[in-house]
Amino acid sequence: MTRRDFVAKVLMVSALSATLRAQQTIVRGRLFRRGPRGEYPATGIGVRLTHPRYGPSSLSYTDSYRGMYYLSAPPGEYTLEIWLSKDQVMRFTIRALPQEFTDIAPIQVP
Amino acid sequence: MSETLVAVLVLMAIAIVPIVPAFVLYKYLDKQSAATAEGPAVYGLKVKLGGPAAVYALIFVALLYERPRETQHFHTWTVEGVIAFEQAPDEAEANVNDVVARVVPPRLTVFHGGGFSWEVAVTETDDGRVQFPDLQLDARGFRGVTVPMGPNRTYGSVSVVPEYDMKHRRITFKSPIVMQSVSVGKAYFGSKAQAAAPVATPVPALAVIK
Repeated sequence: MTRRDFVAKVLMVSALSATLRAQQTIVRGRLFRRGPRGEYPATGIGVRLTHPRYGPSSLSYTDSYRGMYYLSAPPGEYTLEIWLSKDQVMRFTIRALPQEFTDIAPIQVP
Repeated sequence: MSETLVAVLVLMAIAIVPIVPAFVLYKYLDKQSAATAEGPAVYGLKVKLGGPAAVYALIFVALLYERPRETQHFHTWTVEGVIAFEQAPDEAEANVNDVVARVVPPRLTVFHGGGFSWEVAVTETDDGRVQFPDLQLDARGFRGVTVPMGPNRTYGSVSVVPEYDMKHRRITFKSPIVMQSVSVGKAYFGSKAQAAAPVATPVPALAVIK
């Protein structure tokens, strides 16, 4: 690799990183369970996004009060993965929009 | 590598490795010329060592003094049981999902002013790889925050990057971890939100979940 190729690659990676940081949306949603007395939040469940180009995101765990998760990501089509356990994963397709928040409808989990 | 195999290899090393210095000492040291060493009486018996044996004993004591002292380790245990509620007859039925469980130690408290200092168990594999856990912070009225403590950063998580002192096993977050109030920004309305389209994966039945 020549010096010019190396510099070009570094600039490209920097530009891509800057683009990713600049256009982040917060993908948020809620997980719930249904019991005999109605719905209740599904707390402490790991949720992440996967993108064919960016790969998997870090995990976000649903919070203790409302079962909400929050993940920041660049706009695009993602697979939303709900990790019920290390062997049981629920998958959904979602679209992260170029705006502050991308709200995903509540999802029932077992 | 299993723990049993590691234990066997350690025992073999303990049995075989001392043969090397013992062989060298006995081969090259004159038994009569080296000084003798006499140890304290144990159960009325006095130990007197001469020549190569005395030198080996001195080397052994020196190594014992310099041995690695980091012996703390941990294993993952499965803890199972049932929680029951005792209530007054006229009380509404308790909701088991209101139970908040914690494991103590560590005692994870936040100081006045927001500072914290927590002792956290971190898994290290046999080949020395460190597997950092995630930190989950929740507060009523605020958006929950998941903070990965490992160095591998990817999108999704908060942009707080920790500093690592591997020698003293210390992780420091130099900039504050911000918990944002749910009142900041647009409110979440699930009924008006985008429906997530399930990918063809069957929903696990309740009976399968352990």
